[in-house]
Amino acid sequence: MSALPRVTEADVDRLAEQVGLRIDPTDRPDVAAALAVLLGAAQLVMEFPLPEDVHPAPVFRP
Amino acid sequence: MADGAAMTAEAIAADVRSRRRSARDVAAAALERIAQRDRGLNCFTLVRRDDALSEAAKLDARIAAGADPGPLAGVPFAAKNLFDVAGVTTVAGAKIEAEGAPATRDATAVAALRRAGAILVGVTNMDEYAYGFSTENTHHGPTRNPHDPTRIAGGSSGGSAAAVAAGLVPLSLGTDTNGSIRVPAALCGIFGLKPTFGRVSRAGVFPLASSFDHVGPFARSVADLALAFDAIQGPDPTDQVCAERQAEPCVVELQRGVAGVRIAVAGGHFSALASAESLDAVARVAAALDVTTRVTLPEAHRARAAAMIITAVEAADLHLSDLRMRAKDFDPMTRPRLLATALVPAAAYAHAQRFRAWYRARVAEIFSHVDVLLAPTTPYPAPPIGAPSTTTVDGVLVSTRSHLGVFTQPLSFIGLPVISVPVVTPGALPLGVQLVAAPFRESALFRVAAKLEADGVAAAPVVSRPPD
Repeated sequence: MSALPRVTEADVDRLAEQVGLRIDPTDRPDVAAALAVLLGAAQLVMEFPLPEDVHPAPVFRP
Repeated sequence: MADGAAMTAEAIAADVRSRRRSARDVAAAALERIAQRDRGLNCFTLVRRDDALSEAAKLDARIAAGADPGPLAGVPFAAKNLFDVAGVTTVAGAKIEAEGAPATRDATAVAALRRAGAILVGVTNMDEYAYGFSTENTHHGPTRNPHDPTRIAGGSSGGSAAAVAAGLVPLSLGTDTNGSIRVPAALCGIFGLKPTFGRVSRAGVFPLASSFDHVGPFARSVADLALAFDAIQGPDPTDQVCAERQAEPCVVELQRGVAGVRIAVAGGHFSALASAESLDAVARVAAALDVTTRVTLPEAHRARAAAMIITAVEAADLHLSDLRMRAKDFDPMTRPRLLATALVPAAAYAHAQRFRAWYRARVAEIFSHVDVLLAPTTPYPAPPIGAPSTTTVDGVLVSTRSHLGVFTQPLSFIGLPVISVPVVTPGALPLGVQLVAAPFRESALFRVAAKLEADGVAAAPVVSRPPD
């Protein structure tokens, strides 16, 4: 994978607040590191152009 | 019995069915091995001593009365502690779940093995909520690799894999979302099958990520792996994603040989960022099968990234409430990573699911001219327990534990069936090679695995080393 995005502890706090999470200060560095890995993966996925007619894999059967 | 640890499920069932040995004696011997060795290995989180002996005695009584005891008569087995077992709390490696009531019925796969005559002797250790590749569980302690107790067994189904490798039981059940059967199978030197997505019911199994969760067996022989798979495969209306397709038995495939099976080595992503030993294991298997063709799965590195995103978001959905209310009760090995899953942007999940459809179509094109692909299972052998968080492979810094899934994730991402076969070099730690087929073509995998076993290229001798 290419270079990971930079994620600060302040970023973690800001994002956590949006989903109602309170992250203990002692966990913040490790959460930031884990989030950097996930955001790096997200970037790799999002930058791949897909035709509009490609639909999500799960199929809902009513 | 001195040779009990090395006996296959096939041999045990033959003995029990013909009444050369009683199921109770077989269960008692397995329980004795567990008592002797598991303190050092830590495979089991709970041993069903009295229940297993009682159930085995009942099986003996049925045999004496002339009933057919099933193809796995008297075979002791273990199940990862995220399968529901009636009377046992489904802990899933988590302190939080240990507070729950015991399950009231067996998971479908556990019930199927028991219907086939197998005896459940206990449930096994794992990464908390199956979110890891190492089974370094803080609540229960790490499971130790029977080949070297200072090293991890792999995960997340580490207890189930190590129990089979050490000869405590000949069969066990695990789950695989991103590699959690194949990684520990490889690191412990045994056979592991991740069937096609939907081939085996997940009903009664604690989920990690529903888009990828699979159930499958571990064994020390290909025949045992097929016996277990045949017992658990097939439709189940109580699992919403279980395929309606009827079971296709694989035991009958084992003697067919590999004539006509088109085999190729997966290159590109699957030949980089790995140790020389891992790539050499693939080369040895390819040479034994006279395979020279190489193919490339397009964007496999991106498939792995998409698997990470989908897993993270689906795990967050399951655990967000507990993460809000009681984060401190999570294992420190998983807590920071699970907290991070809740912070992933939503559009990435949707794009990853769309990418999954695109990638599935590209890989299907490859399977129009190839039947089985060969790829390394892990990029290196088992790291030490407590190893630093990063390591260098091929001159690149990677995460020691998450990189273990670099070659398994792009395959489970689209639900392909895979057998990890053990490749052992005397004096060295074991490694695995993945045999990969098109969806619902497990039969081709079993034919190739049986050939490799018959030729001595793949083997899983029981590890008799005493615990240190």
